[in-house]
Amino acid sequence: MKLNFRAPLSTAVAIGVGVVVLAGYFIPSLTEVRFILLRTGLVLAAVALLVGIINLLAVHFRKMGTNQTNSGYSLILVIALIATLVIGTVDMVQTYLIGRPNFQITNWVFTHIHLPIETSLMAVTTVSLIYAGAHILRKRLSIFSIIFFFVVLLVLLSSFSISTNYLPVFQSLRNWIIRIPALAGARGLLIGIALGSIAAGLRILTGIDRPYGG
Amino acid sequence: MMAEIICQMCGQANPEDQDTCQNCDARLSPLVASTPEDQIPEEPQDSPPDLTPVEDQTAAEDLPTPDLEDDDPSSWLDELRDDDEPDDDDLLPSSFADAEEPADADTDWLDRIKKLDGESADQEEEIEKTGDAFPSWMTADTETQPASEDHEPPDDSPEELPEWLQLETDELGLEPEEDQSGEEDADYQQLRELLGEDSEQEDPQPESREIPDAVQSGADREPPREEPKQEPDSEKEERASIFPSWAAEEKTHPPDIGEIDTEDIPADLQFLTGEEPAKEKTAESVDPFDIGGDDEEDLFDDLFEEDLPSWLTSAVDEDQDQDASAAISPGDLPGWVQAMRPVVEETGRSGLAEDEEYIENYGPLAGIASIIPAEADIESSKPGDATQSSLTLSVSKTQREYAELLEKVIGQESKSETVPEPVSAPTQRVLRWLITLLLIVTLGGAIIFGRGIENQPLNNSNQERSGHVALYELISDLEEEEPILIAFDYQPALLGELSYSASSVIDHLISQGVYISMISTQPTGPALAEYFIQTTQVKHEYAPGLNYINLGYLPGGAAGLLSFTIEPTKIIPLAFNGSNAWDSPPLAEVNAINDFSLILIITDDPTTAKIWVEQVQTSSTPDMGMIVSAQAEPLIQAYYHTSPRQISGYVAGVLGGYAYEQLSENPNLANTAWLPYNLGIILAAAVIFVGGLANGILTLVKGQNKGPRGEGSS
Repeated sequence: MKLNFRAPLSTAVAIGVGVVVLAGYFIPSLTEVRFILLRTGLVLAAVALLVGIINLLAVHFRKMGTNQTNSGYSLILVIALIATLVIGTVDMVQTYLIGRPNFQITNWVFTHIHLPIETSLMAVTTVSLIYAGAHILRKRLSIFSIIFFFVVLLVLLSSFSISTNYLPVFQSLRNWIIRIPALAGARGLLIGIALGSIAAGLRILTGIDRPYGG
Repeated sequence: MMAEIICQMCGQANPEDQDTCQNCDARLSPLVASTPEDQIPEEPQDSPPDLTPVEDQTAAEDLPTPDLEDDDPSSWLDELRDDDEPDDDDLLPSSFADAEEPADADTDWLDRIKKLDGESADQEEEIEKTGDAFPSWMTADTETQPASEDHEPPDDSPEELPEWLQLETDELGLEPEEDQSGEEDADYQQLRELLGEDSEQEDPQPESREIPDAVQSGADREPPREEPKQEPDSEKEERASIFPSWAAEEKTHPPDIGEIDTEDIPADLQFLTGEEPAKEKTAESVDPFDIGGDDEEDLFDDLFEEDLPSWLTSAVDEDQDQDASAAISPGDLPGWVQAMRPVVEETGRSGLAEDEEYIENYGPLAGIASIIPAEADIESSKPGDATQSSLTLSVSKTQREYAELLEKVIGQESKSETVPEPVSAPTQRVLRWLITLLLIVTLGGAIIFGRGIENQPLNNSNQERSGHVALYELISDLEEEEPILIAFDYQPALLGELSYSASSVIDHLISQGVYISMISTQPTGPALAEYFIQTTQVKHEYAPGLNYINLGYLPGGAAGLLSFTIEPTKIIPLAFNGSNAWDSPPLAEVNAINDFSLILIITDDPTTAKIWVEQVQTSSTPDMGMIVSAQAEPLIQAYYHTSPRQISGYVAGVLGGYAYEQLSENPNLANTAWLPYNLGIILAAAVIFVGGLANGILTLVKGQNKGPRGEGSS
């Protein structure tokens, strides 16, 4: 008879670690055990990031082999990843073995390639958001879309100095919107997240949810 | 020689002028036939009708005869007459009953004998087997007379038979002898006259004659007397096909009467053989009308129940039931039950009669009606019929219409519809490019040519409640060389907003002479921190490792942050540059998270801000300030507008940075970018307002032209 020990073992480990970490908040003697478990989890999270990078590389290698339409982008991604990895490895060797500080080559790549690309994407997003705001009443003409449309306009117009000085009503309206409706919505959202986190934690602790498999 | 009349009851010869038997007082001739015109003409005695088979006669000789000399045979008949059962004459029509009353006086006792014991199976069986109306033990006295030398041969000629017997025999549909047909017609005519019917309407076929109910009931009581006669083979076969197999077999092979012993005689008639019936088998008589109790309501309740009434069920003798069930073996039906099997009068060749009611002739279901005939189906489904059937499908007009409709529906499904391309695509692309050019030109011009323009100060009416004021006061309270922790947890895309918002705050911190430690939960955070220090705080000439230290990336999300809060020295032992972080001047006096004087989080994500508050913020931790993007401000306020405050102060967006610069009276990046920022907001608001208004009007116009539209329609 074939026995599957994987599922019971993983479930027992998950529930046991969760109970110990939770009990560490209330029992001082368990604080050291709790910290050991958290530090182990930290190392595992770093390893998981490395595993994720390897998986990403393998996926795009496969896409390159199938001659798909967007396989060129996969080639660029793989070349960039390998180049950055090589640069980071060289920088790490120089930093930790030779003593050249602060990863200068890596910083150069980040400053002159990564940062401009991301800020440019944000600029394009800004143009797209403006266009979407102008188009919202064409796509969906309802009471909620109209309210959303005028609230956006009100917050924008109250965000520059001319309105705050010469049109104080805009400033008052902006403060009221942010502090009353927006704050109430934020509090409700936080309470909902907290309740959901408690429920999810209890389900994992009791073994009802097993996101780790098994 | 004077003619003698043989009594049908006791067999004694009586003078011709006697109306009743000298022995048993039974009437020798019915009153109906007593009139002179109804006298039956004498027939030659050389051809007496043989009413019973020879076997019956010989068997009857063996039967013990009662002692007629010592006991009056009519006494037990008189006792039967005293029974409370209703007279059969009540069932007859009044005229017929009156006419038959003298005959009933002699014949009614036969019916009563048969009815007395409904379980006299042997008697019924014998009646059916012999086809005679009289049991063998009854006919023995009369039929065996010619065989004995002491008595004269019995005169069973039709003219000497009582007319009431002849009439009844004729009415039962029996086929008379050919030489007696004329007399039978006369008798039948006489009966028809008595019933008041027209003789001209009678059916010449005996089978189709309408038998009066009263006579028919009599026929039911007495099976028709059949006389053996020579029949052709074809007729025998036809008769065999008409009757069920078991009935036909009994007809062709009549039972041996000689085998009948005294046990075949019913219990009620055992006294005729001189034996006393077993008393223990006699059922206890119960008066059905005896309530047996004082409460009549119980009686009526029992009557209206579905089950048998209690007085009826109580009358059942359990011993008798047990004896009866033991006597009847399964599979061996009693004779009286077999006698109840209906005799099939006529069935067609296929087994179906005219009224389509089928009665099984063969097998264990013989005699049972309404059975699905197998022969008809077999005949209708001959093997050759399948090949002869046509393959052409006969379709009605309605079916053809339905088929055409189905074909039309399927044909429409298979057709492909050409979807026209949206004509608004070129217009949208132009609009996007128009917006892009407008923003580039406006903001570029403001950046290039707007440096000399003095910015308008903000309205400071609500500064006491603002987050940037609280943060400014908190930083102002810091002393030199106090360690502070700054988290750079934002994406590089938000560098433009957050660097302009945080530059004045970081500048204020550096101005205070504090040690700065930088950490990030984002992989790009350490590089961003280095870039920020090198681009915005160049003037302070802060040296890494001396005035500030970069702790690098903290993996693990919330768990990593909690671990760093508990044991920061063990989680991140080395700095981003590979040096021992905790031996450097910024962290020389720091062993735990509580040793920092201020924790400042720069983030664009409300979730990241929430994690920092939840995992790090405790009652013993130092003050926490935040520099967030404008999009995260509503969520951050929830931690600021509380008591006690979980966030001591915050700066949100470029607007907050500009306010902080004004408050610190130290113009920085926010001040330089203020004019393009304002122009960009105005331009964006104008585009959104004009475009939204135009699109809204177009949508309303289209909606009026096309009718009501759904909420989600585009």
